[in-house]
Amino acid sequence: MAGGSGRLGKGVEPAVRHEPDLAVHVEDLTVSYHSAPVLWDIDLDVPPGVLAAIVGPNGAGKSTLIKAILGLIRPAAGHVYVLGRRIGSVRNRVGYVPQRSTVDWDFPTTVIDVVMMGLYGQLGWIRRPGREHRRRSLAALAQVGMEDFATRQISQLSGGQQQRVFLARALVQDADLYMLDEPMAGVDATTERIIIDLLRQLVARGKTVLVVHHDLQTVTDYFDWMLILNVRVIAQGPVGEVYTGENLKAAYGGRVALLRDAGTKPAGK
Amino acid sequence: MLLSDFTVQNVAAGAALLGVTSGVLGAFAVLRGQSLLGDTLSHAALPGICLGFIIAGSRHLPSLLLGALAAGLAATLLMFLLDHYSRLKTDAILGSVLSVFFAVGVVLLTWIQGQAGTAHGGLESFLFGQAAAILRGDLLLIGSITVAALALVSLFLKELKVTVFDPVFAATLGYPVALIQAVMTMLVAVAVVVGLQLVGVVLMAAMIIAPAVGARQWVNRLEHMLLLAAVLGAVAGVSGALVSSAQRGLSTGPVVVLVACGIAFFSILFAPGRGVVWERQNRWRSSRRLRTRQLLTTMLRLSQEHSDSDYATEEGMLNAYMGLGTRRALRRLESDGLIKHVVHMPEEGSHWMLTGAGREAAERVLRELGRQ
Amino acid sequence: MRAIVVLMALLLSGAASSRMQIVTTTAMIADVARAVAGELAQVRSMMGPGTDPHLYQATPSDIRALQGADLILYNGLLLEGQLGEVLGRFGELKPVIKVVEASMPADRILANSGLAEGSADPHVWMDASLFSLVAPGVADALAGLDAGNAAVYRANADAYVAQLEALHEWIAHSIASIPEEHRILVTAHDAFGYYGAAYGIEVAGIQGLSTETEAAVADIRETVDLVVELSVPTIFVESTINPRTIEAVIEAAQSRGHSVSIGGELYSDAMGAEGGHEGTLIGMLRHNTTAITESLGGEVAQWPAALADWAREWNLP
Repeated sequence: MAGGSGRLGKGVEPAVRHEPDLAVHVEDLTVSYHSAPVLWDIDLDVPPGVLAAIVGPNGAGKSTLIKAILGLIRPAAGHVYVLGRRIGSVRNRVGYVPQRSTVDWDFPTTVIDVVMMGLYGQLGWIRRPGREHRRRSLAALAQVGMEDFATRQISQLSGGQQQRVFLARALVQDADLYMLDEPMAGVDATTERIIIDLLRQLVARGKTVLVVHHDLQTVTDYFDWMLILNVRVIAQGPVGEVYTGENLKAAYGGRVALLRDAGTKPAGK
Repeated sequence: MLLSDFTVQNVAAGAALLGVTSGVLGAFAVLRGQSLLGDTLSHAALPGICLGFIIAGSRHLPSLLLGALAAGLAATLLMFLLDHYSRLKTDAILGSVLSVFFAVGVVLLTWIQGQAGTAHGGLESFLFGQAAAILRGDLLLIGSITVAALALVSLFLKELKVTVFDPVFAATLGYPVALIQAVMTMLVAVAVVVGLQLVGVVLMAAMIIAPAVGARQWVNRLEHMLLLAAVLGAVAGVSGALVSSAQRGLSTGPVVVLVACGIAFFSILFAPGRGVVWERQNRWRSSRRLRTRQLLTTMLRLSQEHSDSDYATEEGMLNAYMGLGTRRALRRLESDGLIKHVVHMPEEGSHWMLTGAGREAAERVLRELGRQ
Repeated sequence: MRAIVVLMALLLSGAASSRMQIVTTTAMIADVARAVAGELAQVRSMMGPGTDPHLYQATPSDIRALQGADLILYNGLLLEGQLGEVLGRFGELKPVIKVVEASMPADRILANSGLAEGSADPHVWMDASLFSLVAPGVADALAGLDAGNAAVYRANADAYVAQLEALHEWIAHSIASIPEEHRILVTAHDAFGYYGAAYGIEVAGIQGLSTETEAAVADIRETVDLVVELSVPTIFVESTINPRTIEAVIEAAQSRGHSVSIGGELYSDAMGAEGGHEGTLIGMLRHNTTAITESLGGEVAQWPAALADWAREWNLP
């Protein structure tokens, strides 16, 4: 986390830090696309050190929320503070793992090359990655169990392997906040296990992890904090409090069957 | 010896520079999925050339090329605006910008044609190129442009790589992605300017695409692809120049383009690993191997069922199992020493029996299958 | 009844007072038409100075002019390469004359010695005497449309022919003064075939008869070989063609140790600026001949008395 020369992500450091005790603080965020609201009046306070899930039906704005927090989309209204600051000045402390489909996997490059891209932010302009950077990238690959694939062409990877490479790319940045977009969608059981183990390790080391999660059934197993989203915030907070039939029905419109509830009494009855 | 001729040297050198530039700079357009960017920017160059002529008042080459570059810049800007502020998809944007600019160019060209004054003859040569008339001074100009462009690419290679591969991730790192993408587009405009004199506006699109597409087929890393694209482009340029010099009545530009496209098609068909022919052969080989393995395991299972290690299976039965003729596969297994031809009685037809080695091979296959 | 008479008188007077409209493709043909028709017709040429007739395409204003024309004149022999269809269509509507075919005997048309065997060299205006044959034909056509002035047209035509014959002599004398070893005319394309044949000078062009195809490397090399082998001291650019091909030849010859200079810009497929003396056929050929003769080491002949009036008209010595 040391400051360094040649870094990207400059930006004027505000005199006052906003909500420094929160990993992510979002105020009144509204994002629209061609005058149709995608996110409406979002207030979000993510405490540090949680393994948080963002869930909601299709079109709820989950990916958009991630992108807005990362400063990739300009909101129609509202403010976003990450680790107490505007995103521009903390980019080197935030790691992003996008959906696999956003990339052309036929691009001519190797696994280790992709992981090293995570270090470009620290290198700044023109400077090339050196031996030390390569070593760190290999270490990140080892964390996701892909060190044998370092020189493999990325077109030869399975879906789960691709996901792990993306994860390694974010890990190598040694960030304080990680944001992942549906990392476990469509991956094999081994990959899913590796991913969730890794996320837990990160949280154990004090990092904050935010995950757009596709599978309602596994939320209570994996996460300790959650946000239920459907254009507006339906509910946010610790999973035990928020994961209720009522909240989910409000978000999904009553079309949700919970395995957990099957054969048990609904809360409060 | 053709290459000892001054004119041929000039043309070959110019064509080589063109090949290198369009190969390297075109690679980025191809990898971005914007292969037709070369077409758009080369057609957009026409009004720029005309305006450069009108402003300079003469056929002074640097003014014309500067005009072409300026038009490329204007086209880039227009494409950027359309991309960000309209609902048009990329292919529609490329197509409309191409048409509008080229139409303006043709109007300007005919207007210039209709003007009094004698200085405008030969502007039409930019439509299809006039490679033969390249002068040493031109070589100096396009040579320096080439060196500058390649230096830029080399310096900022990692920025270009991450912006093409994953622009969203690049943005999260803090890179000005829109700016880098605009620079990449302008680089294609630079390649177009270098090639205008040699192949002209209409054919330039092929030079942007062909060497890069050909190179991609043979290598798997961006750095290698750029190098190979440069080499293939240069080869196309020089051979096109030599072939067209050897014969009367052959224009250089189109021959260079033909060679480049020939290389691309050859690569698409025959490159190992990605080539169409290679893939087909591979698939065929795989299915052949599958068939022989199936035969072995079938014969093993049958002999196990009959509790007879020397059990001889009738060929007709194997055909029935496999659903197709097995003779050729059986012969292959026989020549590998894995099965033996046995005749019980002449009227019963061919029978086949596993050898010791064949039995081992079959058991090995079953073990592997069981493991998966 | 009176109203109808007045109307008809108005119409007839209108028709009589407006001049005849003649539209030509090249300015060279327009020059002939102007000389023959004088003030009795308004002549307009579609192509101006610097326009390459091999590549020229008709514009909407050209079509309008053609529609309003009483007589259309064009060269033929594929000179106006892109106008064939347009001229063909108008040929069905109006009097159209292909001046070369109409006026010149077939045996005086030079054949194309290049690749496309069987086609002919269209650059007939380079031979003043040959081109003068166009004038009587134009006079006849005009007489057919305006019989009342037939004598005027014929007289004009005769005067013009006399001028061109005097010019023809003058050119021949001038060219003859060039030392024999330098009597070679190298230009950007094969436009000077008739000039060479009529006035006794070797001609060579980098490109062939038409500029529709680009100059090939072999074209440049052949010309360079020729220039070096025959030690040609001077070669010429043309007003309608990009001078790069000539410059390339010069550079290549230089590399082989032979210095060649540019002897000047010749008018080949088009004439000089309109309204200037080089915008007339006589002026164009005079300019060309002067440039060629003096650059190659000869001396121009005395300007003939028959053309003294012409020279005075243009304030020339």
